[in-house]
Amino acid sequence: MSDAQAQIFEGGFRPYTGPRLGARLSTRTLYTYSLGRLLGRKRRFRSKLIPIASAVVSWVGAIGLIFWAALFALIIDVDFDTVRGYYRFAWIGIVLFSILATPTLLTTDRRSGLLSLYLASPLSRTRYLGAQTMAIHTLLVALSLVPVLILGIVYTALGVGPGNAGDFAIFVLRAIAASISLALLPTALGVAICSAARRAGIAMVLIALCLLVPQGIVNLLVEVAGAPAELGVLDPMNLSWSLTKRSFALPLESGTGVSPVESVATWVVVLATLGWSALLGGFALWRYRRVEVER
Amino acid sequence: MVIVESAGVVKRFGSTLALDGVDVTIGEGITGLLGANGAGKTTLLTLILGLRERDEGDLRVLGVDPDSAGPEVRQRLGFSPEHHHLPGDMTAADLVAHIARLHGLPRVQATQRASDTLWEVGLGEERFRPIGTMSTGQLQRVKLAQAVAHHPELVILDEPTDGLDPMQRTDMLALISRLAAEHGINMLISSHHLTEVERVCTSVVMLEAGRVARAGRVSDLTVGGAGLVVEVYERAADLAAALSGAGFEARAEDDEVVRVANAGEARGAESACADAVRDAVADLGLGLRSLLPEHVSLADVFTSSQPEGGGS
Repeated sequence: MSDAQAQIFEGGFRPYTGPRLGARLSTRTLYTYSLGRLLGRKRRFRSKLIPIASAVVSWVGAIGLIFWAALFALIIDVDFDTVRGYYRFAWIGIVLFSILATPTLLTTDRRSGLLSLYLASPLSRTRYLGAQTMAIHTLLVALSLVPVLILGIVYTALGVGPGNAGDFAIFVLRAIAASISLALLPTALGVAICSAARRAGIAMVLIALCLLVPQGIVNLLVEVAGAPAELGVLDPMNLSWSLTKRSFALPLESGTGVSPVESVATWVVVLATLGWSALLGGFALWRYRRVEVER
Repeated sequence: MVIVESAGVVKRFGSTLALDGVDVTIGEGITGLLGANGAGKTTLLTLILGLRERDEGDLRVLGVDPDSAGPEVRQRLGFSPEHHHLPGDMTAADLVAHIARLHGLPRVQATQRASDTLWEVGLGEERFRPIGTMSTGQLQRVKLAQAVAHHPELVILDEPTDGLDPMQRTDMLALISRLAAEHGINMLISSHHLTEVERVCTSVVMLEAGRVARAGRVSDLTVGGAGLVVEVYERAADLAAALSGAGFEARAEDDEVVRVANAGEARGAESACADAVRDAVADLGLGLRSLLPEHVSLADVFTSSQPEGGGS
């Protein structure tokens, strides 16, 4: 480099004259940052345990099924419905992740004071809540969708999956719809509860109770007290599961011990899921509109 | 340039009137926002940040209405809260870069400026330490760094010296003054420490029961009006007696200092008082050390603006 080319670059704090990319970038920044936080990125090892455990629960079954198919596809009949039934595994991972991870994101923001910094940025309360909700929902969807898609590809490659490109496209679309359906209510429930509870521990207990307890009560009311089957829409866990089955064209069940929501018309299940999601989302938004920015 | 301008701003929370027709103009430089608890400081700050909508009146922050353009206003503001709760497992560099990104800076610039800003506030060596391991003094600097990293036009600092020892307070105030003077960042400081506000602020706004009790430049509020302070080398009592004989209200504090009231509001009155002091000193053959307008501290101004039993 000649003397004429040499330059001294000024270092240190100085005025910023570059672009400012607005509220849309802020929302995207928070979304990607929250995805990282939920996965334990740049956090202590114990923060990584929840996503690891959820992924293990959701994905280990898929890995087993791939080995099963790979070993026996050429010897005995391997039923593609095994892949459809895989959502049962994924559901456990989703419940685990909803209970343990959602509160660590939302209640921690309030307790750590980050919320006041967020709300003093171009983010509005709606954008803040939207970014956080999307981050949670994205990971919950990924927990079930990724292993199912991998299974679908492997089974297809082994000749036991969808027969042609059209069928495979339908399989993918149904898988996406099923995964979104499965994650919708746990996301909405988690966000709504976290908007009201300040402590992560309390939020975890409440999410677990709301997901797990209504099932027994609704079954009891319908089977013993003779309440109408439509009462099944009050059971968020089976409501989500039933919508997933319908999205993925899985056979519905009937009989004693089966959730009453299985016998409810599909349009009622869809409306109930959307209604619950809107109600819970509206409650969360109402709560966040009332949150005072901490000094 | 006017940074914040309000006219008749009213804010109610149910039946509580938090702001009762606030008229204020905040210009460039460092401005102190003073008031007792419940005077309306926090409410005014949330209105400036566009986090609450006013009920009546007009408010412009950097020329924009924060009610209708909250995100646009907040993109040009920085905020350092009073509380010290920051995510303990984040490093200072990550937090500052993250907040800069949220204010619209591209990733590379945000990361670079986070590092530069932490060096500027004296945390260069500590920037990769988790915030949870930092002292209160370091936390205050992290809060300041995240507020200024995106180079806002106005920074709102809420109790920036809270929890600091006297030496750290001095350092922090010097840092705030330097950032304002060298980098042209306007500051609005909400504080209970009147001496600190007096030391660093160019202007103050005093709120009382949701109204502006006093506002203006610190130099205007703290000087003049009350009288003169005369320092002589000896026989202050004789000087006081001579001035009293000439019709002025004079009192010797000790053998060297005389306080002369009755300077009055008008410039002429103050000038006549100074002339009388000069003549009396000459007549008595005293040595004059100093003749200054009586200084009123910001604390005196603040106390006089508060109702009986008020203040903080």
